[in-house]
Amino acid sequence: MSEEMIKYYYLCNACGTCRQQCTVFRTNLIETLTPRARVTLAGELFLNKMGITKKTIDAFFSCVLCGICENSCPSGANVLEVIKATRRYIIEEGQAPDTISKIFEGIMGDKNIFLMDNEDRMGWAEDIEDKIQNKIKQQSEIGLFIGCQESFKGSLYNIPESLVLIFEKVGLDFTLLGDDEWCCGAPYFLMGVSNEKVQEIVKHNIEKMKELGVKKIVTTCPGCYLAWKEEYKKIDSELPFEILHSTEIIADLIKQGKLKIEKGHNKKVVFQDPCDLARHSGVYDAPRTILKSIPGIKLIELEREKADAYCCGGGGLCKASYPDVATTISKNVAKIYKDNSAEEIITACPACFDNLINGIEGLENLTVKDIHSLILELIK
Amino acid sequence: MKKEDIYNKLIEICGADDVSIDDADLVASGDWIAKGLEALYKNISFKAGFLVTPKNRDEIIQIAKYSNINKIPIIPRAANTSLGGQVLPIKENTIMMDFGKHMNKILEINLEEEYVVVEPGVEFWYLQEVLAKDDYFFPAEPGSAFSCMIGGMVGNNASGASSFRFGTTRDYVRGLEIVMADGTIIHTGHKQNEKSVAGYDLTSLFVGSEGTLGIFTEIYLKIQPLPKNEISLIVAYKSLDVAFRAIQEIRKLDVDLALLEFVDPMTIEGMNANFKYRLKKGIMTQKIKVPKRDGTLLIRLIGPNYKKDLEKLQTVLSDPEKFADDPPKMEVMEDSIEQKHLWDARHYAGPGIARSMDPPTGPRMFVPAVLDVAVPPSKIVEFLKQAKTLSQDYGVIPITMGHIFDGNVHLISAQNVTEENLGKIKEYQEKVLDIVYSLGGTITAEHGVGLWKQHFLEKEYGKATMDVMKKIKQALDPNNILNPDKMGVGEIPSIVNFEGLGETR
Repeated sequence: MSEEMIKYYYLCNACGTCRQQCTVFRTNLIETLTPRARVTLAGELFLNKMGITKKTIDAFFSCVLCGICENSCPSGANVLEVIKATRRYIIEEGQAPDTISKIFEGIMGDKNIFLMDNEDRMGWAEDIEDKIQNKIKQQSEIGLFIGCQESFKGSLYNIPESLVLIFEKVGLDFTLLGDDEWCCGAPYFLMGVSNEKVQEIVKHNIEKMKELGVKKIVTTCPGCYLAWKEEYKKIDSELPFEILHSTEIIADLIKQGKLKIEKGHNKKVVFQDPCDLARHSGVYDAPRTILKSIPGIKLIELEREKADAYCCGGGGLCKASYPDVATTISKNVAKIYKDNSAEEIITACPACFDNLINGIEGLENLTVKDIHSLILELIK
Repeated sequence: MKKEDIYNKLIEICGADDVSIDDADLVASGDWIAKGLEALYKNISFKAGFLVTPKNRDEIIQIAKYSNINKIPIIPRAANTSLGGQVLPIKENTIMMDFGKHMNKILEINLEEEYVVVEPGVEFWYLQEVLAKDDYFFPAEPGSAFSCMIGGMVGNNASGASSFRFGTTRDYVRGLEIVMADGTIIHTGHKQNEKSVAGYDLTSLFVGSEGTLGIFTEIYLKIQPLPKNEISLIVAYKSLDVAFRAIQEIRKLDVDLALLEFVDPMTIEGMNANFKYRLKKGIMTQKIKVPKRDGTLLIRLIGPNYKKDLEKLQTVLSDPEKFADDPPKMEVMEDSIEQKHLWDARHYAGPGIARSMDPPTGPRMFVPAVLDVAVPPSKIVEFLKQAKTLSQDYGVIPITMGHIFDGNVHLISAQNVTEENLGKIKEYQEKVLDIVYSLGGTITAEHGVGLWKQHFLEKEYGKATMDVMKKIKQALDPNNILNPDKMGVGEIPSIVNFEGLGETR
């Protein structure tokens, strides 16, 4: 148990401002799933005024960690800090959902969240083997960190594949860790856990990148991006890399005139700001720079945009234990986009893409497209 | 009555998904506002016995009938934003009835007759959002506009900063469908008629009854066309006296004021801290900084003549003949988003103050009987001065903000209350109230009586009046099952009677 659990317990006035936008609460309107309830429950657990119950576990592990509550909290409670600390406590008490234990088992044993053989990490690149065979574990200034989801989930292979082909098109050299890439550790960080074993994983990834002379780490996954940018720096304060999301490097290429998108894309699109990239890291402009450079595209900005943008429901490991909640969120969000005349949702995050594919089910004339795949289509 | 029997009966009525005895649900549904009290009274639990989320009036009728026969307390609960301990369970086996999960629908919108019919769990902001599509609104806006529900607003006769212009919730309730304590269902008022003097005005009786007389299942609200134009103005004088002199000048003007708020430097600091955070996070793009002066007023003008009204105001408020000694800083806000940020920050100014301070490390208790007093508007300055002197004598640093035109002042005195200083704080509270009553004021203009303020009511109204209130309660809820021992009409719990203190929020 840690002091972080009670840090905002006495601060929170339970004014309920957080209820209005809480991603999870809006799906079911159950008070126990509001941020103000979570802050209170954490404090009550800390003070031993109550024990861990089923609904307590639901309250903490269904949170998508989108952070919208922190934006709206007038008193300045860092709700995510409380939630992560309480998740850690519940895990330590052995009462976390089984799905979380499985993911941890996968990371520690197989070095990936899917309990797959880590030697198969390059499965995503099967169709472009010729393009990457001389890139794996080679010296380069740019190191691509692919992440577990895109490495092992077939429906997401096209994301790193597209990025590699974009880089090839503009002649940008890069390297890949191949089976030396281990899970970035984000699932642990989302649970507030950063113990020695997790740090070993982090140090492994850092060392492998160093060995290849990497100066810039590029990820397509905002979860990995945030892990490298925030958590890795906590573990190694002298981290010798610039951390970039793929959209940042592509936006720079466009600004420098090295990448020009000439083909048109005549659609009304909405950009799904990934929480880890946007709200948590402040990267809003890069994806918009890319989209605005595409001829014919009409980018719709909603009233709730950027820091206040809707979460897709795919974050915080909610989906692992509460898939119905994650799907309901994505359906609600997709409906909002549809109601705002969007024809396509552009994503820059594997979790957003994966979850919104479920979200658009049943909605006509609304598609989901990964930003890298879109760029590739238009420059081929 | 055995808890298990009640639990089984509730499940029989509502189904297992809508009845909970899980501690997390019970904490979340109510007892969290007792953080301060629980620290003082370690052996008292402020937790409900059951959380029930009814789906319709039939389930509520069945629960009421069963509870009435078996004398089981029921607390009707909306968003739990009340500030007087209204929904704090103090009786064993209390059924906390939460309308937010299911009974949250707008049942009818009639623009021709200008009314809506809603269930109690409809959120205020959501109703406004829906009505705005047709250029309508429900004008009784409380400070908890972000989270409160209509059921709670009606139960507490909610009001706020704009009440001097638009009135309180009561002014917009045309009628109610109510489940009585014995399960009888009644209808009051007329949803389509603005005027009716047929019989006692039961609607008015139930509005503001804080869940002690009946359970609302449908609410008929009057709505109005949404005012079109709006403009906001910050006027900051160095001196409070000068600011109130300016207010006297404003009173003489024929301008359409929607809001006129006084905020003290500590409130401003909280507001500015929130602006700074929002700017940094990119939630707002334009910098707003309210001048941290003793005599700062926030003003909103509406209506077709808003620009002319603004000119009139600016001219009068900076008249060199009248205000040469303290010329104001003035800032006009025309941009609607910028104005929204300003008034949002004012709405949550209470909790917002915390952003400019270090997080508290222990329980704080507010002095409830001074939190939302009202005095005749002409006596506000006198009240503030006397309260300031008294506060200094007692070492209390209150934060003040207020709705000038209706005399409602929020004197926020958050204290770290200990067994040692309880007596002193109780004394302070009573002396503030002496000032309020000597000026012809009231203990609560907005937040309600709830648990904390009930023992002061007799001082405000006298025994005979309180006896009438008690007779009404006795007649409508003879078994005292509906939000028992609140509002001064039941047995006042000894802890409240003794201390006169409690945490609000």
